[in-house]
Amino acid sequence: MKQQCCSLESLWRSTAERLRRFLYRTLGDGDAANDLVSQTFLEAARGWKRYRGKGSRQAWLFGIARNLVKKELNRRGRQRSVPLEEAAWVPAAEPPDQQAILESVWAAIQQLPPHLQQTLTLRLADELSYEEIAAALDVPLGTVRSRLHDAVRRLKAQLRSLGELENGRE
Amino acid sequence: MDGNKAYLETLLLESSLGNLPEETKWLIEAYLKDHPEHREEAVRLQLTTQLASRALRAAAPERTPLPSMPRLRPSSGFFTLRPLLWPVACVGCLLLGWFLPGPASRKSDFTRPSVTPRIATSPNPVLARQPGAMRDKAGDDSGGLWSTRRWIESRSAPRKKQPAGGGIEWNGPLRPKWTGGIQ
Repeated sequence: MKQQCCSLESLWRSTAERLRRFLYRTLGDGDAANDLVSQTFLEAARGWKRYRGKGSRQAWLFGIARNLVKKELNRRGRQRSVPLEEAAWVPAAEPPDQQAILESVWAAIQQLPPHLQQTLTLRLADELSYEEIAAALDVPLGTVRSRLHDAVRRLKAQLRSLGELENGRE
Repeated sequence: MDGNKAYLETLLLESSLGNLPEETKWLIEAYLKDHPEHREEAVRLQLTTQLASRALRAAAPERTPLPSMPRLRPSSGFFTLRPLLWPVACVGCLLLGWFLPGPASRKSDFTRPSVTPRIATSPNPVLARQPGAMRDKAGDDSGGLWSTRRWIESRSAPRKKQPAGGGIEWNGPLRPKWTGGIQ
């Protein structure tokens, strides 16, 4: 998943959308997320030469975004992250039988601890690399891996008890 | 759970999360063909992540157009002035060289040794040396530090003529052949 990039433009093309999704999930505000995406890239342009080559540029960018989010949340004086149940559900994209399965999966994900939900979402929905997730959440790479493994194991156990894995296979 | 099983589960989890290189995936596939008892577990894990991924993406934030990339400009005038820094630094050094060494050299007691080699005229050069022989340039302003001003002045000033017949004066006890000394 590690992508090589050599310019800010290519980094924008490869990362901006994922960055925006991460910021939206953290801040719960689409406009603020868009503003912070731009601000993140401006900070990256200013500090382009300070980049020491540790990790990918994308992960570096997510680290900048994380710092900006912290500042923004301090400014607002509150911690707000979008609970999954508040996010918009798009049922029309799935056939009705699959929709029921996905709702069960959705419910199972909601029962996971928040830190596992967050890590799983960043990986599976936002398609961030492990390195980017580590930078975005400010945790070691090993923690990201163990959280993801834990989340998938728990989810598998829940879905198995619900019998959804057998239904989903059909 | 023995070590091999735990290791295999880790590999299957990583594979289902899409974090394995293609070559490793092929190796796992080959292993699962030989060990079908683990295939069930592999399929379950794969299905779990697929379903979770679909459910999470369906609940993704509403798509709004991404803002255009911010127009990046240099944050300060420093970057635009950067090409001028070298010439300005060079001119600064020249000006320093022009003004600085003048007063400094006047206070200095250092005198540059004479360029013309001087050889004592007495048979015994040590006894014949005068106390101020090497300080005959004291007070002369030609010594001191190098400066741009002096360099330009020395280039522009007319050169002094060398006195005619001024060669090496040899009055030592041993005379070279061509002056009729010791054979």
